[in-house]
Amino acid sequence: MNELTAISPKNFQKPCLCVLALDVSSSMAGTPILELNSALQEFYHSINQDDEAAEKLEICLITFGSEVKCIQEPAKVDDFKMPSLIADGTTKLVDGIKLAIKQVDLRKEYYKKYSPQYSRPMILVITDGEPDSDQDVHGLASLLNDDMIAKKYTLHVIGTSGYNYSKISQFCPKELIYEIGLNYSRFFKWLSRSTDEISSGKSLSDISGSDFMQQSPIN
Amino acid sequence: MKDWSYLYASVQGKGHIEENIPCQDFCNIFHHTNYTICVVSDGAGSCEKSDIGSKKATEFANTYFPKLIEEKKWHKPHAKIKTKDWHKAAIKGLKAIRDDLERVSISEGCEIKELSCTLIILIQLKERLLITHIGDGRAGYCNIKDEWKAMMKPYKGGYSNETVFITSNIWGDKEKLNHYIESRVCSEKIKAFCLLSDGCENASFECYKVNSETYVPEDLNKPFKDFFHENINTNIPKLVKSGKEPQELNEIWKSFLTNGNDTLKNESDDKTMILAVKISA
Repeated sequence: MNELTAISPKNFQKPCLCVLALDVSSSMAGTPILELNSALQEFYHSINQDDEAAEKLEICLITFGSEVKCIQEPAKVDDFKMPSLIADGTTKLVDGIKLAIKQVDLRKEYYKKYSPQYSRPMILVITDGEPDSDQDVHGLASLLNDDMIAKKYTLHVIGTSGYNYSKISQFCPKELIYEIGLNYSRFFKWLSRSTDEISSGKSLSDISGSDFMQQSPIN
Repeated sequence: MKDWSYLYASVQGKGHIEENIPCQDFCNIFHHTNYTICVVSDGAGSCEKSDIGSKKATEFANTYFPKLIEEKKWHKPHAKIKTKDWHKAAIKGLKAIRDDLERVSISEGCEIKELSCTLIILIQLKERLLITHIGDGRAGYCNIKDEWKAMMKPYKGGYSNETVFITSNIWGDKEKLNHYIESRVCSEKIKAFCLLSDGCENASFECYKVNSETYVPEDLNKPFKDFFHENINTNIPKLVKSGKEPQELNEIWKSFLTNGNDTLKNESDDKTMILAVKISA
């Protein structure tokens, strides 16, 4: 028996930005890019079916190959269709992350103007390789270090089959590197229900259901 | 306080149930002659021992604030209380609680920041309410015209779920103290009041609404009348008059905060609310 009753107000959901920086270099051609495209579609539909997530989550898509592009400005799932990616070219990974950071900065300016509260933006980098040899890895390492201290965003690098752990760890703190093999689908299913916790700064391995991700050896 | 009923409970949020994390909120009511102290504390989610911090901070509030009220004789009828005097006294009381938490951290073998928690302390006197707080959460009251008003402004950091804690490094700087600690005196005639952790704010306050003219979201910080109205005017008086003991009322309250409606049921954060209601004869 309900002895107490209550109606709650409809409150605006605090926005949460998720920037996906995706490797589309030629090594992703074939099964990896097919798996990634399929997982991105599933991710899109999972968010779309979750009213709360659909209202607050803004997704931004960056691709890096020989060129770095923002193929989707921050938007809610209602306002865009998930594109299909094509693999080609080299791996301008550092430039891809820098563009992701730029998108975070721009969106935070917007939030500061128009939202009383917002969640910490998150950047997830997915790669099967390593940065091109002419990429400024050390400059990025220093930038990420400063930004992490300032809690500007959360960032994780998700390595898929073939990624070069030792190169990635030259710019990214080791505890932020995870390996998923070819488990794109599982990763994006998990991501669709874990964005709040990632944004809060929790270690990915502490979030339930993350046991399929390997924290790469710290050495 | 005579003729008043107090319903209070802290319950785990959905996220904490799923991850088997203990409830990090705590609350309590302490009755004294001529006044009642209500305390709500919300332990920081990122700190391992914040459940201990919130429990201890609540207990310590009842060590220092009665002394302070009785020293100033504010519990006597017709006592004059200026907001600035209450604010000054409240800072002293909060600092004593912070220092006691430091002693707890030594005995627990951890840093004081591991005990991080927010604190809302309300002193209900016969003719007024005194409130002080550090951090987030909400508080409000209903006057005898049935108007609900906010009693404090939560301190929110840059990102959602970020705030200041009683353990934060603010105590050596007077300007910081006045920025982070807010104290108010409410002298309106009232029939109910509420104190809550941020886990209950989406269910019971208008917090984030889009302004219909500018289309810009803003924090209205307004208790939502439809959440409280029927409960304070009909449901709770009916339960009290049916002879329910305070403990039974709190069990009903606990169940209500757990799954009273979809917003409460789906909230991932821990939820605490004290609701005090004047029961007419």
